Amino acid sequence: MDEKAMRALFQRAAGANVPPSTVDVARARKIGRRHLRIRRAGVPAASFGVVIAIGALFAGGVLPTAATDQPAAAAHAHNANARKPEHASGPMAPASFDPLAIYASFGWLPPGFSVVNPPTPQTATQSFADVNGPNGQSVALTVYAARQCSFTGPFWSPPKGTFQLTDGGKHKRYLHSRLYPRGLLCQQPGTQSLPGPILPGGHLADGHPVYLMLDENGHPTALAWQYARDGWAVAQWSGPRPAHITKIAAEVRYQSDLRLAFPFRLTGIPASWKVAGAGSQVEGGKLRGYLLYLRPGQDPQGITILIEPPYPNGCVNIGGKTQSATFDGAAGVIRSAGQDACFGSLHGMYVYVSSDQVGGALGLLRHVQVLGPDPANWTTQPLG
Amino acid sequence: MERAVRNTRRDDEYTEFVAARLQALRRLAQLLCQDWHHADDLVQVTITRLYVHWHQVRIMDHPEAYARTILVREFLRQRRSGWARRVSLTGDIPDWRAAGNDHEDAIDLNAALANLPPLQRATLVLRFYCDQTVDQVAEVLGCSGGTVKSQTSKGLGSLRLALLPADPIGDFGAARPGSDAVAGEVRHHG
Repeated sequence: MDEKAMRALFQRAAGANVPPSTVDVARARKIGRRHLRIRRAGVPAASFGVVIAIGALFAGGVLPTAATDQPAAAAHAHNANARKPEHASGPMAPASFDPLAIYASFGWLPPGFSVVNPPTPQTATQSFADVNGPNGQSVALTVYAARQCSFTGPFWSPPKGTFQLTDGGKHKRYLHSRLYPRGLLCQQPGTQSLPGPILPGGHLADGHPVYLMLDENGHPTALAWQYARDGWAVAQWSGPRPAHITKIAAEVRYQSDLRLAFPFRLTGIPASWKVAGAGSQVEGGKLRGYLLYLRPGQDPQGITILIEPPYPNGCVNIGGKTQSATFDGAAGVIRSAGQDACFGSLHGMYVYVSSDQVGGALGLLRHVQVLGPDPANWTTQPLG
Repeated sequence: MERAVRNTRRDDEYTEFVAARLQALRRLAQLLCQDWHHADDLVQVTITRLYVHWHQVRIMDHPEAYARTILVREFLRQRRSGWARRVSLTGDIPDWRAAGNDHEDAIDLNAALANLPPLQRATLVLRFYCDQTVDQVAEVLGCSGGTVKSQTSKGLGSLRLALLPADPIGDFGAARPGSDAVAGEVRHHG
C-alpha cells in the first residue's frame, strides 16, 4: 500500500459513520468570555472555583506549604525549603534509571487488565508501564528518578510573557498564563514542564499519602505519590476511574531486575555515545527491547536504531528522494541524504536506522550486529 | 456601546469560522481519540481556547493550522502530561449506533490506529489525513524531523501489518515514478 492509498484510507475512515455533533459553540463562547473577563482581573476563570476550594485546604494545613507563598517566577522553580511530610527518611530514589532495564512494574492488577507496550521509550529519568483493562479503561504509570518532581507554591503556567516563534521565526505567539495555588511539577524532557493542581487523596497501604491530580475543571485524573525520598510516581487513568487504582499504586514494584533483551549489539561506537531512550514491546508474552535512541545526536532521537522481527513490505516509502542500497547482501532503501536506511529483511530482521552523524545511516549500520529472530540469541547488553 | 458592537462582530466572525471547520476538527479528533465522545470533548476544549485567543487567531495567515495545532497538542497532553483536561458537555450523551453503511476499511483502520501509541497515531494522522510535511508535523508536535520520521516509519509498519497481512509484494515498487524505491522482495544488484 503506497502513500496515496494510505491517504485515501485515512480520508474514508475519517468520513465514515459521523454521528451528530455534541460540540456546543455557544458554550465555548460563554466559557471563553468568562476566561477573558477574569483574566483581565488577574485570576484564571477555569480554575476560579478550584482556587477557592484548594485555598481553604491550605488554610487548614491539610496540604504541604512552600516556604514562600509568592507566585513562582518561573514554572520550573524548585523550592528546596518545602516541607516534605512523607519519605522524610528512608532510601533515596535513584538519581537515574538504566533505560535498558524496567525499573517499575505492576505488582497487582484487577481482573481483565493486561500489560501493553509502553508508548514512550524508557529514559534515564522516567520509567513507564501501561496496562489496558475492560470498558476502555487504561492506566499509564510514570515513575520519575530522584528530584524530577517537586511541590510548587502558587504558580503561573506558563510563565507570563512566554511566547513561541512561528512561521520560521517571523511571528511571536504569546501563550495564555493561569495562576494555580499549588501543584506538583514533574520535569518532562523535550517539552515545557507544567505543574498540575493537586488535592489530598488518602493513603497507600503503607500509610504514605497519595494526591489526586486535577484537570482544569477540578476532576481527578491521576494519582501521585512518593515511592522513595525525592522520587515520585504518577498513575494516570483514562476512561472510567479504576475502582482499585489506590491498590494498583500501592502494589507497584520498584528496582525490578528485568533487563530488556535486544535483537542487536553495537560494536566500536564512541564511548561518549549513551542511551537516551530504549523502546520495548510485548513479544511472545514478554517485554523485549527493539528500539534505541543514542546520544550524542543533535536531536535526542537523531540516532535511532529500530530492529524487530520482519513483516511484509516493512520499508514503506515515507517521502523524500530514495535510492536503493545493499548491505550484507540485503536490499533496502536510503533516504534523507543518507540519514535514514531501511531494510525489510537483514539477517532475518526488519532494520531501520537513522543517524545525523558523519557517515549517515550506513556508517552507523556498520557498527550494528543483527542477532537474528531467535530471542535465545538476543542480548541484554546491546552496547557491547 | 462601541465595545458591544466589537464583541458582537468578534462573536460572529468566530462562530462563522468554527461552524465552517467544525466537522473537519471533529474528524481529526476522532482519528486521534478513536471515540466520538472524547473527540467532541477535545474539540470543545479546542474551540474554547480559540475564542480566548481569537484576537490573534483572526489575523493569522493559517488559522486552521493553529486550530489543528491546539487540538493535536491537547490530545497528546491529555495522554501523557499526567493531568488530563476534560470538558463536561451538558445534556444527555446520545446513543450513537452504527450507521447503515458498512465501512469495513474505516473500521479496520480505526482498529489499527487505536493500537498505536498516541504520538505515532498523531504523527500518522497529521501526515496522511492532514497531508502535512515532515517539517510541518514537527512544528505541530514540537519535536524534530528525525522523530517524525521514526514515528512515521514505526507507525506505518504497524498499520500495514494490521491492515494487509496477506498483501502481495509489488505495490511498494510502484509508489513513485522515477524513484528507485525497493519493495520487500530482494533484488540482486551488480
